[in-house]
Amino acid sequence: MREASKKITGGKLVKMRRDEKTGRVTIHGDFFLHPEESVFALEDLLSGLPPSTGEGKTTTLVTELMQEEGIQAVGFVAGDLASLFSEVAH
Amino acid sequence: MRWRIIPLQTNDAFTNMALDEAIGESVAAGSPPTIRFYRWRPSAVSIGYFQSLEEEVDLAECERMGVDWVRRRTGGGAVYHDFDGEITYSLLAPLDMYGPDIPASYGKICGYLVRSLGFLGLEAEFSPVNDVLVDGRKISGSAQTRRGGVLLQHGTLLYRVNPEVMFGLLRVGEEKIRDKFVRSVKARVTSVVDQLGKVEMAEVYGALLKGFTEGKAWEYGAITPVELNRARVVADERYRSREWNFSR
Repeated sequence: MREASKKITGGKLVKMRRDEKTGRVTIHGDFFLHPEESVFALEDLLSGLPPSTGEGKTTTLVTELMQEEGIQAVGFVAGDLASLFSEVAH
Repeated sequence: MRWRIIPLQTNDAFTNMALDEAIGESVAAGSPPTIRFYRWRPSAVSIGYFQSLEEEVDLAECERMGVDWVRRRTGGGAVYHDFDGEITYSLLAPLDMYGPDIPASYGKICGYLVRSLGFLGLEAEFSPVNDVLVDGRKISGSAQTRRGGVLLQHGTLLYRVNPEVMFGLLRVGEEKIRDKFVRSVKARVTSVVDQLGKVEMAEVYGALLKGFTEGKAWEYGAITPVELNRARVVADERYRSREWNFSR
């Protein structure tokens, strides 16, 4: 299991874990995301990405998903998740 | 629209969280916007929606101290709800009363807390995203969710804080780190008693009531039997369940 974390606006923490065997990604922390259940869609998206996916491509995919699903993150942006993915995937 | 104010009451953690959900459903179905004030007995730790219970909370210490634990439907961090140490509020209103801008709605509702503290003679300020500070230290934290066209914001006002107890229940690493953390928390967290010395909780509740209702048309109301029955079901099916509390 690889883990990476990032402090975001307001001192909140976003933590990402990736199971190296299954590729399963989970996102934890004391952040706010609306609707809350959208975290599963974000986790599914990231779990399906090859580890070699570049940060720019991941940012685009996360941004598109957030726009399509009307997901609002408070204090962090798609690029934060992309940089965390890049850390746990490599 | 006239607000329903449910006066200060005490429930266990599971009932408190389930009442928020049941009242939210009721507001979605046309009941008046509602503000309620409550305490937690037994004292309890609540964790944010995205947190892991085992990672954030020392469950053995909770067992030893008779402290419950529950996972919230809102994000944010782990909170120790000390029966003697805080008053919690929940505000439930149709989304259009506060608009789509989430940070702005935090600011507006936390403004009621700032005003309440002003009635106690304390100069407080809203600190985005979700905190209220006095003297640069956190005295209140809130969390918000939006479901079914209803905004729920709940949060605590610290009446009296005991960092040693609080961080004995929360996992903050080794003892050495914990000591350092407790010292750091003492520097970052305050309470009404810290600020004012001798003050009764009833007086703090009175200030909260005034701060949250000023400028609103309102009347006292009770939790309806329908809400209460729904809350009992939700408490059992969700908030008391291992599946929910250990789901992350």
